Amino acid sequence: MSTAPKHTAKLSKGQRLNWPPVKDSATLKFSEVAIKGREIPPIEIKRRQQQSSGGNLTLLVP
Amino acid sequence: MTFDFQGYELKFVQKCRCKDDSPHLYTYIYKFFSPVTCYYYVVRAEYHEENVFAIKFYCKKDKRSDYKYSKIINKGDLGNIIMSCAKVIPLLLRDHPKASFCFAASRSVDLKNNTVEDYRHTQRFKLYCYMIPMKFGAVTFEHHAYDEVSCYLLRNRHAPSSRKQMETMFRNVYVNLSEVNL
Repeated sequence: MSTAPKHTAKLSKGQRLNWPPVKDSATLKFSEVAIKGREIPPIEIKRRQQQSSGGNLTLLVP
Repeated sequence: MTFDFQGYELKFVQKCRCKDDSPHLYTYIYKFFSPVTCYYYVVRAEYHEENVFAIKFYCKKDKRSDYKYSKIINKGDLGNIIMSCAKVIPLLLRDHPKASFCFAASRSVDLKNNTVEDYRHTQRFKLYCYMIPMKFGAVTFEHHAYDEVSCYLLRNRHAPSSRKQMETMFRNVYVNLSEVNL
Protein backbone atom coordinates (compact mmCIF):
# COMPACT_ATOMS: atom_id res chain seq x y z
CA MET A 1 0.00 0.00 0.00
CA SER A 2 1.28 3.42 -0.92
CA THR A 3 2.25 5.74 1.90
CA ALA A 4 1.53 8.81 -0.21
CA PRO A 5 -1.33 10.92 1.09
CA LYS A 6 -4.48 10.40 -0.91
CA HIS A 7 -4.71 14.04 -2.02
CA THR A 8 -1.32 13.88 -3.74
CA ALA A 9 -2.17 10.78 -5.73
CA LYS A 10 -2.16 12.54 -9.09
CA LEU A 11 1.13 14.31 -8.58
CA SER A 12 4.45 12.84 -9.41
CA LYS A 13 6.08 11.16 -6.48
CA GLY A 14 8.26 13.46 -4.41
CA GLN A 15 6.97 16.66 -5.94
CA ARG A 16 5.59 17.95 -2.70
CA LEU A 17 8.06 16.20 -0.47
CA ASN A 18 10.85 18.40 -1.80
CA TRP A 19 9.28 21.51 -0.44
CA PRO A 20 10.82 22.94 2.70
CA PRO A 21 8.94 22.88 5.98
CA VAL A 22 6.97 26.05 6.56
CA LYS A 23 9.06 27.10 9.55
CA ASP A 24 12.16 27.42 7.34
CA SER A 25 10.49 29.29 4.57
CA ALA A 26 7.74 31.55 5.78
CA THR A 27 9.57 34.56 7.07
CA LEU A 28 10.82 36.24 3.92
CA LYS A 29 9.54 39.76 3.58
CA PHE A 30 8.91 40.95 0.06
CA SER A 31 10.11 44.39 1.07
CA GLU A 32 13.48 42.94 2.12
CA VAL A 33 14.12 40.91 -1.00
CA ALA A 34 16.56 42.32 -3.49
CA ILE A 35 14.26 42.79 -6.46
CA LYS A 36 16.44 41.95 -9.40
CA GLY A 37 14.48 41.70 -12.57
CA ARG A 38 15.99 40.42 -15.76
CA GLU A 39 14.64 41.61 -19.06
CA ILE A 40 13.99 38.88 -21.57
CA PRO A 41 15.26 40.41 -24.83
CA PRO A 42 12.84 40.58 -27.77
CA ILE A 43 15.13 38.40 -29.84
CA GLU A 44 14.95 35.69 -27.20
CA ILE A 45 11.14 35.90 -27.14
CA LYS A 46 11.01 35.58 -30.90
CA ARG A 47 13.40 32.65 -30.80
CA ARG A 48 11.26 30.84 -28.24
CA GLN A 49 8.11 31.46 -30.25
CA GLN A 50 9.66 30.12 -33.43
CA GLN A 51 11.22 27.17 -31.66
CA SER A 52 7.95 25.99 -30.18
CA SER A 53 5.67 26.49 -33.14
CA GLY A 54 7.69 26.73 -36.32
CA GLY A 55 6.41 30.28 -36.72
CA ASN A 56 2.70 29.46 -36.68
CA LEU A 57 1.97 30.82 -33.25
CA THR A 58 -1.14 32.90 -32.59
CA LEU A 59 -0.28 35.71 -30.23
CA LEU A 60 -2.85 37.26 -27.91
CA VAL A 61 -0.94 40.54 -28.08
CA PRO A 62 1.88 41.18 -30.59
CA MET B 1 5.59 21.68 -27.09
CA THR B 2 3.20 24.35 -28.34
CA PHE B 3 0.82 26.25 -26.17
CA ASP B 4 -2.21 26.28 -28.43
CA PHE B 5 -5.03 26.11 -25.91
CA GLN B 6 -8.08 28.21 -26.70
CA GLY B 7 -9.23 28.96 -23.17
CA TYR B 8 -12.81 29.63 -22.15
CA GLU B 9 -15.11 32.59 -22.51
CA LEU B 10 -14.59 35.22 -19.84
CA LYS B 11 -17.67 36.74 -18.26
CA PHE B 12 -17.36 40.16 -16.71
CA VAL B 13 -18.76 40.15 -13.17
CA GLN B 14 -18.17 43.59 -11.71
CA LYS B 15 -15.79 46.45 -11.02
CA CYS B 16 -14.94 47.04 -7.35
CA ARG B 17 -13.42 50.20 -6.02
CA CYS B 18 -10.67 49.78 -3.45
CA LYS B 19 -11.08 52.33 -0.67
CA ASP B 20 -8.09 51.59 1.54
CA ASP B 21 -6.06 54.57 0.30
CA SER B 22 -3.43 52.24 -1.10
CA PRO B 23 -2.08 52.42 -4.67
CA HIS B 24 -4.55 49.61 -5.46
CA LEU B 25 -7.40 51.65 -6.92
CA TYR B 26 -9.98 49.20 -8.25
CA THR B 27 -10.50 45.67 -9.51
CA TYR B 28 -12.19 44.17 -12.54
CA ILE B 29 -13.60 40.75 -11.74
CA TYR B 30 -14.26 38.08 -14.38
CA LYS B 31 -15.20 34.43 -14.19
CA PHE B 32 -15.11 31.40 -16.44
CA PHE B 33 -16.11 27.75 -16.26
CA SER B 34 -13.96 24.73 -17.05
CA PRO B 35 -16.08 21.79 -18.24
CA VAL B 36 -13.10 19.52 -17.55
CA THR B 37 -12.68 20.28 -13.87
CA CYS B 38 -16.35 21.32 -13.50
CA TYR B 39 -15.28 24.35 -11.49
CA TYR B 40 -15.77 28.06 -11.93
CA TYR B 41 -12.66 30.22 -11.73
CA VAL B 42 -12.41 33.87 -10.76
CA VAL B 43 -9.97 36.24 -12.44
CA ARG B 44 -9.14 39.49 -10.68
CA ALA B 45 -7.43 42.31 -12.56
CA GLU B 46 -6.36 44.70 -9.81
CA TYR B 47 -5.55 48.15 -11.13
CA HIS B 48 -2.78 50.04 -9.37
CA GLU B 49 -1.13 53.42 -9.65
CA GLU B 50 1.55 53.60 -12.34
CA ASN B 51 -1.10 52.11 -14.68
CA VAL B 52 -0.34 48.50 -13.76
CA PHE B 53 -2.74 45.59 -13.42
CA ALA B 54 -1.91 42.69 -11.12
CA ILE B 55 -3.62 39.62 -12.57
CA LYS B 56 -4.77 37.01 -10.06
CA PHE B 57 -6.97 33.97 -10.32
CA TYR B 58 -8.33 31.22 -8.10
CA CYS B 59 -10.84 28.41 -8.13
CA LYS B 60 -14.18 29.77 -6.98
CA LYS B 61 -14.74 26.94 -4.55
CA ASP B 62 -11.72 28.22 -2.58
CA LYS B 63 -12.89 31.81 -2.45
CA ARG B 64 -13.02 31.87 1.35
CA SER B 65 -9.64 30.26 1.84
CA ASP B 66 -6.61 32.32 2.85
CA TYR B 67 -4.65 30.11 0.48
CA LYS B 68 -6.92 30.35 -2.54
CA TYR B 69 -4.04 31.55 -4.72
CA SER B 70 -1.73 28.78 -3.52
CA LYS B 71 -3.90 25.69 -3.65
CA ILE B 72 -3.44 23.02 -6.27
CA ILE B 73 -6.71 21.83 -7.77
CA ASN B 74 -5.03 18.91 -9.52
CA LYS B 75 -7.90 18.13 -11.86
CA GLY B 76 -6.16 18.97 -15.10
CA ASP B 77 -7.11 21.44 -17.86
CA LEU B 78 -4.25 23.71 -16.86
CA GLY B 79 -3.58 25.02 -20.38
CA ASN B 80 -7.14 26.21 -20.93
CA ILE B 81 -7.38 27.69 -17.44
CA ILE B 82 -4.17 29.68 -17.86
CA MET B 83 -5.20 30.80 -21.34
CA SER B 84 -8.59 31.95 -20.05
CA CYS B 85 -6.79 34.15 -17.53
CA ALA B 86 -4.38 35.44 -20.17
CA LYS B 87 -7.30 36.51 -22.34
CA VAL B 88 -8.10 39.24 -19.87
CA ILE B 89 -5.06 41.19 -21.06
CA PRO B 90 -6.21 42.02 -24.63
CA LEU B 91 -9.62 42.85 -23.14
CA LEU B 92 -8.12 45.34 -20.72
CA LEU B 93 -5.82 46.84 -23.33
CA ARG B 94 -8.87 48.07 -25.25
CA ASP B 95 -9.74 50.48 -22.43
CA HIS B 96 -6.22 50.87 -21.03
CA PRO B 97 -3.91 50.87 -24.05
CA LYS B 98 -0.88 51.95 -22.01
CA ALA B 99 -1.42 49.50 -19.16
CA SER B 100 1.23 47.10 -17.92
CA PHE B 101 0.56 43.73 -16.29
CA CYS B 102 2.24 41.76 -13.57
CA PHE B 103 1.84 38.24 -12.25
CA ALA B 104 3.00 36.89 -8.92
CA ALA B 105 3.35 33.14 -9.21
CA SER B 106 2.12 31.95 -5.84
CA ARG B 107 3.90 29.39 -3.77
CA SER B 108 1.95 26.17 -3.64
CA VAL B 109 0.99 24.97 -0.20
CA ASP B 110 0.31 21.49 1.07
CA LEU B 111 -1.84 21.99 4.11
CA LYS B 112 -1.87 18.32 5.05
CA ASN B 113 1.90 17.97 5.14
CA ASN B 114 2.43 21.52 6.35
CA THR B 115 4.89 22.26 3.60
CA VAL B 116 5.19 25.11 1.18
CA GLU B 117 7.12 25.75 -1.99
CA ASP B 118 10.21 27.93 -1.87
CA TYR B 119 10.03 31.54 -3.04
CA ARG B 120 12.29 31.14 -6.03
CA HIS B 121 11.09 29.58 -9.25
CA THR B 122 7.74 28.28 -8.09
CA GLN B 123 6.09 25.79 -10.40
CA ARG B 124 3.61 28.49 -11.40
CA PHE B 125 6.50 30.84 -12.21
CA LYS B 126 8.10 28.24 -14.46
CA LEU B 127 4.82 27.88 -16.29
CA TYR B 128 4.38 31.65 -16.66
CA CYS B 129 7.95 32.07 -17.92
CA TYR B 130 7.19 29.48 -20.56
CA MET B 131 3.68 30.52 -21.49
CA ILE B 132 3.82 34.34 -21.45
CA PRO B 133 6.48 34.70 -24.18
CA MET B 134 4.47 32.20 -26.25
CA LYS B 135 1.38 34.39 -26.20
CA PHE B 136 2.64 37.93 -25.74
CA GLY B 137 5.14 39.38 -28.14
CA ALA B 138 7.82 42.00 -27.62
CA VAL B 139 6.20 44.72 -29.74
CA THR B 140 3.72 45.86 -27.11
CA PHE B 141 5.53 44.79 -23.95
CA GLU B 142 8.94 44.56 -22.38
CA HIS B 143 9.22 41.22 -20.57
CA HIS B 144 10.81 41.17 -17.12
CA ALA B 145 11.20 38.09 -14.91
CA TYR B 146 11.91 38.30 -11.18
CA ASP B 147 13.34 34.93 -10.21
CA GLU B 148 13.83 35.69 -6.52
CA VAL B 149 10.16 36.32 -5.89
CA SER B 150 8.63 34.38 -8.80
CA CYS B 151 7.05 37.42 -10.44
CA TYR B 152 6.70 38.43 -14.07
CA LEU B 153 6.12 41.93 -15.42
CA LEU B 154 4.83 42.86 -18.85
CA ARG B 155 5.73 46.54 -19.06
CA ASN B 156 3.89 48.37 -21.79
CA ARG B 157 6.34 50.12 -24.10
CA HIS B 158 4.05 53.17 -24.06
CA ALA B 159 3.77 53.25 -20.28
CA PRO B 160 4.60 56.63 -18.81
CA SER B 161 5.97 55.00 -15.64
CA SER B 162 9.40 53.45 -15.49
CA ARG B 163 10.02 49.88 -14.44
CA LYS B 164 11.63 51.21 -11.28
CA GLN B 165 8.50 53.15 -10.37
CA MET B 166 6.36 50.05 -10.84
CA GLU B 167 8.69 47.94 -8.73
CA THR B 168 8.70 50.52 -5.95
CA MET B 169 4.92 50.74 -5.97
CA PHE B 170 4.52 46.95 -5.73
CA ARG B 171 7.17 46.70 -3.06
CA ASN B 172 5.19 49.13 -0.94
CA VAL B 173 1.79 47.56 -1.58
CA TYR B 174 2.74 43.91 -1.24
CA VAL B 175 5.07 44.05 1.72
CA ASN B 176 4.59 40.38 2.56
CA LEU B 177 3.72 39.14 -0.89
CA SER B 178 5.25 35.69 -0.62
CA GLU B 179 4.81 35.16 3.07
CA VAL B 180 2.82 32.07 3.97
CA ASN B 181 1.82 31.24 7.52
CA LEU B 182 0.23 27.84 7.81
